[in-house]
Amino acid sequence: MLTKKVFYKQSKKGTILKIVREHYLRKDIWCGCKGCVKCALEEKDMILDACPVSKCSLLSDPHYIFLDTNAVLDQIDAIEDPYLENIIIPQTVLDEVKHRSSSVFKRLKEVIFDKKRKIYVFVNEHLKATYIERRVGETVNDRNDRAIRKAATWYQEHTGVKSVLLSDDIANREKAVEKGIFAFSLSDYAEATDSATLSERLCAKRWSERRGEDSTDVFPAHLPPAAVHHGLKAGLLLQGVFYASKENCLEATVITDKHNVLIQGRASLNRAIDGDTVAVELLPKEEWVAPSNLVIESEEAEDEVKVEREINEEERQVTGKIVAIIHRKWQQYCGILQLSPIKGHTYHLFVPAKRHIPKVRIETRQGEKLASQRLVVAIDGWPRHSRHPQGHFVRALGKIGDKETENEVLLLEHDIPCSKFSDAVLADLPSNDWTITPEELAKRVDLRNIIVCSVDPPGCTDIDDALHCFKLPNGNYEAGVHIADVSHFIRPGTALDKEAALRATTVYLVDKRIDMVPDLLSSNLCSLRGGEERLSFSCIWELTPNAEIISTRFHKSVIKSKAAMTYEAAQAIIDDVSDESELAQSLRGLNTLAKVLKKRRMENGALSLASPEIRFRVDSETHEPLEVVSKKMRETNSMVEEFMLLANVSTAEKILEEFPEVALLRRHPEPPPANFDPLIKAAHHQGFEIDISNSKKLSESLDKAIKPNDSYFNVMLRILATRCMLQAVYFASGVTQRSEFFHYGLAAPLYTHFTSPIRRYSDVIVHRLLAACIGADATYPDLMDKRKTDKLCQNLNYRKRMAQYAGRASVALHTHLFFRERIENEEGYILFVRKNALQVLIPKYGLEGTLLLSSKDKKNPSPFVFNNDDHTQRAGDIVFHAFDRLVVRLYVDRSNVQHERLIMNLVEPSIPGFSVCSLGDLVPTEEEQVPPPQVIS
Amino acid sequence: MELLNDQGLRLDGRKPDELRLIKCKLGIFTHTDGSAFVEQGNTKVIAVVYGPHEVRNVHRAKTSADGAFVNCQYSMAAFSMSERKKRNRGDRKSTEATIHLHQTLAAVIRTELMPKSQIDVFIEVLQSDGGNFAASVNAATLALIDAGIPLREYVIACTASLGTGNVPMVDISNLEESLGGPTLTVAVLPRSSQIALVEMSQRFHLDFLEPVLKMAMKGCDYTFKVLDMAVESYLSEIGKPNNWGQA
Amino acid sequence: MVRLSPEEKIYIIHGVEDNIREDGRSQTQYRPIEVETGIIPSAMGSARVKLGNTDVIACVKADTFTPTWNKPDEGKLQLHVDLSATASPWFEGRRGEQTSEEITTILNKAYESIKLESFCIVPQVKCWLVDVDISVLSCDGNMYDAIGFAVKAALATTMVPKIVASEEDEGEKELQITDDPFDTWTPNVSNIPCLVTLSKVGDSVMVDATNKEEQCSSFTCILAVTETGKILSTFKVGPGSVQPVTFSKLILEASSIGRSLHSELLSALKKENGLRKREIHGFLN
Repeated sequence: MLTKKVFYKQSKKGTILKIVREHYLRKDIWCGCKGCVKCALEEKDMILDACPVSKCSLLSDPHYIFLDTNAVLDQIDAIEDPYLENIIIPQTVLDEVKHRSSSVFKRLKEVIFDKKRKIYVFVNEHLKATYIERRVGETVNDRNDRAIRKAATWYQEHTGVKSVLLSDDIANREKAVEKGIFAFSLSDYAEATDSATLSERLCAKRWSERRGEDSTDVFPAHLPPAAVHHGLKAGLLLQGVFYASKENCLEATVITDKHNVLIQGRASLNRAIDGDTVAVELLPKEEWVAPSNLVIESEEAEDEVKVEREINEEERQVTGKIVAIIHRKWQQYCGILQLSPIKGHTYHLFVPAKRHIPKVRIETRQGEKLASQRLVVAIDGWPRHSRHPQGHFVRALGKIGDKETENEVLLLEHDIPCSKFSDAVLADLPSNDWTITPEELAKRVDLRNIIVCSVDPPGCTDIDDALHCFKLPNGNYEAGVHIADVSHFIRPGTALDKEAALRATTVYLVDKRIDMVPDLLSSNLCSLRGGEERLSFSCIWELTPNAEIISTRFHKSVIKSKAAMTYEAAQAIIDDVSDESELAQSLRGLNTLAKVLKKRRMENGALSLASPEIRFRVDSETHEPLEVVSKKMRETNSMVEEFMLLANVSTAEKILEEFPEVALLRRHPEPPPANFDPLIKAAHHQGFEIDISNSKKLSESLDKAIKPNDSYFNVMLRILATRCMLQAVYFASGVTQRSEFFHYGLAAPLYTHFTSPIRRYSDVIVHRLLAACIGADATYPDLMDKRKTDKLCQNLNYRKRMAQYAGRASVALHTHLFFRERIENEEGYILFVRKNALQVLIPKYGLEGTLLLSSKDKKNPSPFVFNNDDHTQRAGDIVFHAFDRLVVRLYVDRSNVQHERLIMNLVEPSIPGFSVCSLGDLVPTEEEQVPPPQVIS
Repeated sequence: MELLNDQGLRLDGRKPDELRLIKCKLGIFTHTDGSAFVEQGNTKVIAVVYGPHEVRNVHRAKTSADGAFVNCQYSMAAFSMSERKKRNRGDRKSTEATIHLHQTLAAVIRTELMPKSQIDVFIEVLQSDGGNFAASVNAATLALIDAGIPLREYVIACTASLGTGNVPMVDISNLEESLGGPTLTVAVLPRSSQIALVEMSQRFHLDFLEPVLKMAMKGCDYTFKVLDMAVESYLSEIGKPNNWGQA
Repeated sequence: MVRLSPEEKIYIIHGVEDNIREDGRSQTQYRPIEVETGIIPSAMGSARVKLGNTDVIACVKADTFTPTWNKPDEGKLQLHVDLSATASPWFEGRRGEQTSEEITTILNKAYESIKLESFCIVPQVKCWLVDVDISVLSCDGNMYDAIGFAVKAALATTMVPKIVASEEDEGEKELQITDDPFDTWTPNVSNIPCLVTLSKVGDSVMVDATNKEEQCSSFTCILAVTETGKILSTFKVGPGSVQPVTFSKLILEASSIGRSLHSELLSALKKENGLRKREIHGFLN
């Protein structure tokens, strides 16, 4: 049976198209109920119970649950609760959900995949008995609702078991009842069950029906979408992304194409939340203001704070107000509960850990219990009459202050997907006893008899690269880089692939690793462990002793690493002159070549930058940090690095040549000269000139800036230079100008990431491209689509940035844990001089902190004066420049439970009335900075 | 959009190994020597055959004493796609299809029986919804049979591709073509199971070639049965006055 | 195309003059006309017309355009003819394209004087541009009448999604198509003409000449006739000439033939429209 779907659409050019598609109707679509005699069901398709026992007091008869689209979209948190079972999801609903929200769709699919939940997808759209045509004058929604009811009716007749439709749409429910189907709203249904968690996880949407106590309109109304559209088109409104200020909750910036618009005041902010895409209307020029520079943390006090301030004409910025939210970017937020002062009240305020997210009103009956926990809450909406957005409780993370809990908070705050790998993902893995099949071996180059080894930091379990090198009879060297062949296991389009693409990178925290791919791959099948046969993707060069490339070849191979070494161990072998083994010679060959490569790279203008890197020595039992050690660099580090760079560059050239439109590359844009100002000024003050005309000049002038008596000075210059740089980013070659492909930091015309596919998804894509280049694998449509690649790159860049921040936050967390028990005076250097603070670096801990100079105390004003021209702070005859040495006192301020802060006080040079005394005397001079009276339990 | 949903159905409700509905008719025009109409799903194609006749002046140079000259033209009507086509023929795609058509048909027409003559095969795609070329080959076969041109056997074409999870799918629709990966078009001689033409839209991994090719050939076999039945009923219809097909 | 010998020509001419043509028709008798609309579902409107062995398909696609300032409320109707090689090997390749272009030009001239105010969406902002693509699949004379018939039938059954102009703001009007596939616009075809071809053979005039008869005609004139019998345009093809008196006679004749053609077409379309869930047969029967 055949029918046609006819619809009209407008193409991108605006052409009106009539689309006709075939739609086949079948008879062989089954009900999925156990023991059904009418359907030719196979065992694996029997998902629903034959007699689904009711768990709800609204209807005691056994019944199947039908979910409506709105119920899924609004209440996915509740649907994820394992309480409800025997659910039928009509395809109509699945398609609608997919169309409306890809994130909810993904979550719904996870739920469906969970066999324990007994959820059956019923392909009603292709079953002849349940397919319906749209009627004249019927909207799509009405038609779909009718299709869902039709499916429910069919089931009732087919199975003899009652169908219950859960829908939040009253009209749909009424029509269902007319047809003899029971229908309830999901919330009513959930509340009539005896599950404790289910009703808590309900979305607060229905709150908008009952207004809060203070039902006056707090906010101006948003414009309707059509008006916004016209406003944008006519240029009366601007569209941009809303960034809330981290210091002042009544201030924000909207970054539009034209201006960065300042937003001030509650009414102007008009319910926008950080990350939202909003429409702003600019205020008349007379009303423009300047950023307040004030720190306002508490929302309650805010109204009283009305600052009378002279506004300098130059300081005035483009100011506007928000008139509509175009796209909400609400996430789940973590934070703590601020209990309602009224005892027994079920409405509480949730305080997000991110300070720029407003407090959220939630309803929970477990308030007392949750008060000491970190929670995750989702925002449901923000009605005009409510001062706070309304949300619902999602889950509790654990006790406040626990390292585990805090770690989880950290991951959530950085939007790092860290849930366990779902069953769907795990199903895509090879079996535990996977071995290389002879067919696979036949397709690959067998390199098992070549001396290959890997060199990594100690304790590394995800080894993605290995090397080999030997002398050829003609005097040249053959050197090879072997990368774990992850793309062999992660096939495009699988759940595993999608998950990896979403995660994009493995995240390294101080005491934890959040893998991009499941452990079986990352630490076993893909890890090039010593003595085990592994699949790899090899890049092999013939190099002259002068490290000139004669030829490059790529192939998939099988290797058997002779040794998985640490940098230290490899260094020892190289240094041991008596060791003449093949392995030692191989390493020495690599080392010699690497030195030449590095020298050449430096000559080309590659930058050698620095960032303070430290490691914690963690107690093996308590996992509390014991000691901080900075990372050591050895020759072998640079040896591995050089070959990885070489492999990456060679790969970049190859894939760009073969796929000029869709090669995934990495570029590092040259920073604008203004970025270097602080560096130039700081170095100038110390008597050095930094030339920033190109990377080579910069590199040279950095090399020259050495103070013989201060070895740390050069490192600091490099740290500063690093701060001047822009972020390196992934991009698709087809959507970027060729002139922008350059990698500034490495001084390479082309660059990509090829060498760490276990922990970076970019490398997986590059592997696939390279495999397609050499005919070892097939391409697939998404790989050949430059728009899709571009979109992927955006996610990769975002995740990478977040992973970096999370890594830093993790270090900060451990630093806090470390300093909880101590107060120390340490030597530090000024990195930057700011208007009201000094940015201080403590080399010993690689730690950076802010030393506040301004004073909030009106009676006791700050003695410092800031000079904007040479970036100095002056107090009396003491002047602070960048790179000046200080001694500061470090301790943790635990007064704010949400934000424990590491506080720095100045010890030396001593400034009366500001600095603190030597370590013996622990009375700080300013009251705010008193460490709180010990641990809060 | 996913080519195959979790329930194993394609976007239009077919299973991976199911063809679209095939309808065909021979002898749709009276002014030609042979003609046929083939409909595979929403793809509709007309084929017309003139000849064998004397080689026309424009093609004079192609005259051969060894066999007939097979002249093909593949053209798509301006209204065949959702967007209006400005040029019906002579664009790259049509020229390519013309060449492929010639190659495919040359494999079955017994040209050696008709030296110094010409056979014209003209294709007009009326509606395009994927697998246009395959439908054209099938229509051409029927038109050649209608014209009574001596053939070795039928030549039948079908497409196949890979769906989600590398499941081979047969008879690719336009929507699937635009969403999916490489499409393989195969023309086979079904009785001797020989391949007359293989054409791929993109690069294709060797590992997948075999299952996809198999799927396409399975599709050809089924198409052959449908067309063969149509030919049989057409012949018994037009032969009724002479008691054809009756023992 | 089969060439005729002088004797064959004389036979045909005499037949026409005696009002018993080669196939038995009278001078003013058409061959049976078959019309089937909706034959190409992917077009917004379509019709196939068979006039004896002449076989023509017309398909409509509508789009919007911004009208020029001097005609702010007038839409456009564009016809494009393609002579398919299936009609005759003679149309293969470039030659077919050239002939197609010539006929396209002639046809567009014939439809030029039609006022298309009903094709306007928002004056000065958007009007409908209606493209009609005509494929001639088989040709046994009187192609123009078949085309004229097909164009009118296709337009009369065209369904274009309605364009909704959202309320006016200071800026431009926003035009969008509705998402309801049943909410459509059908062009008003009352002023779309039919084409009537008259051929002079010897001293007589006949309609609907076959291929052979066309070869015997000394003068062929095509007239675009409206439903009310008004003549919108006339044009002449081929060699030959006529007396002015004969020409006036031709016009009167065409007017009455045109009127009856229109009424027959409209009643046929009405009948077809009345059939619910009509199956489209196309070339399958």
